[in-house]
Amino acid sequence: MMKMFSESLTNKLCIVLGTGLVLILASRVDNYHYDALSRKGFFQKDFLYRSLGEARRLFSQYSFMTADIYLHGGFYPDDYDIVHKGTSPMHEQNGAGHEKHEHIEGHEVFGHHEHEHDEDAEGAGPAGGRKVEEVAGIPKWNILPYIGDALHISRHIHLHGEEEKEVLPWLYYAVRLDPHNVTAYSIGGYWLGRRLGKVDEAIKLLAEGIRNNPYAMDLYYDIGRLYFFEKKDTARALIFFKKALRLLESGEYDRFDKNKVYLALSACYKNTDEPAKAAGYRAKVRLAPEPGEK
Amino acid sequence: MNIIWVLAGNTIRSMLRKKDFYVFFILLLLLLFLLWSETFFGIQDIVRYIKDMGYFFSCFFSVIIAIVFSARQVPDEIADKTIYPLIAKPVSRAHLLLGRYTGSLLASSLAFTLFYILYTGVVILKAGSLDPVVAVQAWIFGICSLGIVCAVSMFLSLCLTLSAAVTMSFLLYFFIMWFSTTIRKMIISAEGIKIFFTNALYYIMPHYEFFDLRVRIAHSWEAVPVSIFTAAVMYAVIYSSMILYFCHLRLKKKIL
Repeated sequence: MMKMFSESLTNKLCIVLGTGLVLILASRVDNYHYDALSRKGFFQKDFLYRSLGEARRLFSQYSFMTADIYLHGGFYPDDYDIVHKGTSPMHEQNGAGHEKHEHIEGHEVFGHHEHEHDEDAEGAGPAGGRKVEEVAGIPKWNILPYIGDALHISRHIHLHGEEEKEVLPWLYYAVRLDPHNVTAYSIGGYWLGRRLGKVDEAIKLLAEGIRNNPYAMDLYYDIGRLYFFEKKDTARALIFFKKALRLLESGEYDRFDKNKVYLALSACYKNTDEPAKAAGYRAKVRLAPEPGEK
Repeated sequence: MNIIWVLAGNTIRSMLRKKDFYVFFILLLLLLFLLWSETFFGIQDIVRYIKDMGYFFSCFFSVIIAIVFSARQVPDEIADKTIYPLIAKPVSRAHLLLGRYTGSLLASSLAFTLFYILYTGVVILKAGSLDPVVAVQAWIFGICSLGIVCAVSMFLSLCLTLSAAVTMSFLLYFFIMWFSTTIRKMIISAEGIKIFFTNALYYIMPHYEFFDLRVRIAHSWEAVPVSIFTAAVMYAVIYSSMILYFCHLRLKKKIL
């Protein structure tokens, strides 16, 4: 009886794994179909989208989080918070790393801040940069937690230069799994266009994001930025910034979102020799909140 | 000692006769090929996700083989009634247990080694290099992890039915892989009586996660310090021995 069960278990396992393989292969074929034949976007065509249902949002978030982990060299920032008594790697300097964070336009998601990295952080040391004696304050006699913490990577680093491309697979899957993940589109566009120099690919990705999320103001702004700064195409940039402005005026956005669009429009009109319009948008920029404003 | 090796040899031969290993090997080959052929936004030479996923699948397939294989060793002997001639002198129950454990460990380690060779080959071809020290440490850690997996599965198979033992072994494995960091954090932040309970839980549970060097391999971190590496290997040996001792106690009391 048991032998029969174990054999049937093996068979079932083979069936499950085989099915998994078929699903993966099917997704590859479907993806090829998308790349080769279709320009309608993932939303309509993608196999993963169709097969996973609502669970895709969960996997999309997981992929997005994994991209963040990859950016930090396999280190998940939450661990840092615990070990370093509540300090956040995103916002504070610390003894191990001395990172300086230059935030761009108020974005605090991982793709939208630039990091200057002190070489001290790369100082070779066991246990992910810390000396073994300093493992999270666990005494050596408490041997198992001590070993566990010493084996755990807990140094805060950031990928640089060519290495930054390593985050792309997870951003790719994040948007494939959830075509409404606007943040993933926006950050994917940022890494591709502004960090890795793949401007055309970034524009293609953001355009796809706009097709799937026609009311996402950020995506219009991002694509406009790429046209303005990377392609030096003010006319096209202006089209996207104007669209962003229309969405801005029809929805609830904070002054930071408004400021960035006003500044972008101001810069565009400055380029097209329309100083009055440029000054007009420039004048709309507000640094301080108005009374009663959240 | 010879008796143990004879029993272990039989176990390894039975693994080679079964299809499990070949299925997983082909599946790993296909997965690595898929990961290799994938391009993202027209950018090639992205390697970390191949290192990451490839190592995960190599370990995962080996763990499946280890659990399914070791859990059915003793129950199969009892069900087939082949245990009776075996435990006649000079083969004691302890010999039987050690022989079957050694066989399961060697069989799953052999599978892991072949998976790992395939994986490192693909990674070196794609990435150009792989830190040899970390690669060797990951291989040794993989075998240590399988040692604990085999011992725990064998122990559970002596306490539960085969299906329950396999299920519990998988659940335990995934629970520990996912939640051990959380438990360690609880120990760090625990106060008062909680310190005792969290530490007790931490010492009782098998630490499969100690031997997971995925992050170090994928993100090219430095090798594990020798002192910590040695301590982790010693932990695997001591923990497996303790579980095998409990297995022996359990089998000794079992009415056949």
